[in-house]
Amino acid sequence: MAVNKYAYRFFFLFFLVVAWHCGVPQEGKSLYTENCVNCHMADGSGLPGIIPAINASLVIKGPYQELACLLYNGRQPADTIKSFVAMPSFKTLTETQITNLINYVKKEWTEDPQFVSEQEVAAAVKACQ
Amino acid sequence: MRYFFIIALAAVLITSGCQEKKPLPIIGNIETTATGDTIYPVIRDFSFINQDSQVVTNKDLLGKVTIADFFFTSCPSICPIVKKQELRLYDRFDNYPDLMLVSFTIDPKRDTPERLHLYAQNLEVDPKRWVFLTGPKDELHAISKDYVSIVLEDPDAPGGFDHSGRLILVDKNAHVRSFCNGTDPKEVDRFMEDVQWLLDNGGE
Ligand code: HEC
Repeated sequence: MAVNKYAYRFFFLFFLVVAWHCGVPQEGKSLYTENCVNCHMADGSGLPGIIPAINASLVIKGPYQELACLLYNGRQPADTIKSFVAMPSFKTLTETQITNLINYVKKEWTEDPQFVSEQEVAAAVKACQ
Repeated sequence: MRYFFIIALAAVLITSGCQEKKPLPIIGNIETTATGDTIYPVIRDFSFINQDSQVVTNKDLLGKVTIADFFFTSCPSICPIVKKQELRLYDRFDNYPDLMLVSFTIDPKRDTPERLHLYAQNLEVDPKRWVFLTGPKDELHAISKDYVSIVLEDPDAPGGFDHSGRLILVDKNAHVRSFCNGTDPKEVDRFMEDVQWLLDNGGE
């Protein structure tokens, strides 16, 4: 039955849209909770003088390439005497996970988030290795 | 309609009465001697060094309500989130001079008084209200038991130590009265009410 076929297609598309809307940011949020909250806090406010706040960070507002590299490579503090912890490397995360994380932090802490695709993140990660 | 309001008011009064806080228990092994006396557990005697390189002993804390925790400055796991929650306590109780926060490092090799000084300075906290203590590692690890906390040296754990991230409330007589998981803001909300209760009851 032709009508049914369209209905199935419609529901399939509908399902995809719902999955994209709920699934993607959700995964980013749980990745953030698992990997970042202990240091940067749920609201991105950090710990003053020890861990930078990222809710107003230029690295999050800036080009996604830099953020991808920061997550991939981590960052040792410039002044090791005055610092206590380093930003760890998240090499063990997959490119999909890094993409979801980037989209999550951009959604939370930029006014006009430019979302990125997994392909873009994969290329960025390759370029900074 | 008027009755409705009276009944509603009565209901509110009754339920608020129910919510009055019960006294906090003394936590730990309570023993009874042969003669029938009850012995409540207390924090053992100690002598450590604070972030200003001064000696701090258990006697300095008698007469104060303390909130204690075990941490280390280079901890890459739960310590920052616990410290953030302690800052909430520090801010909320800033007009109680009898309340003190006490952070014991479990990594004295790296956490010298100088490093603790820098850490406290970065957090912008007053050394009169929040002390950071260091000393011999074995003594620091041993005393964590009195504070119902777990501290383990474990090369596989992040930063080399495994620890519980608990916040522990101790009364003026060195009895543990409450604790919570310092990584969970909701538990800390509940813990704050315990702190408030203890302060309202003269710290005993
Ligand atoms: C062990 C604690 C820790 C964890 C976990 C952590 N970070 Fe960081 N992060 C840091 C520190 C420390 C810095 C500052 C590094 C430096 O000295 O430049 C930092 C810097 C950053 C910056 C740059 C801030 C700026 O404006 O320069 C961003 C963005 C960031 N982290 C995001 C994340 C995200 C996303 C996660 C989770 C995937 C994460 N961090 C996990 C400690 C941590």
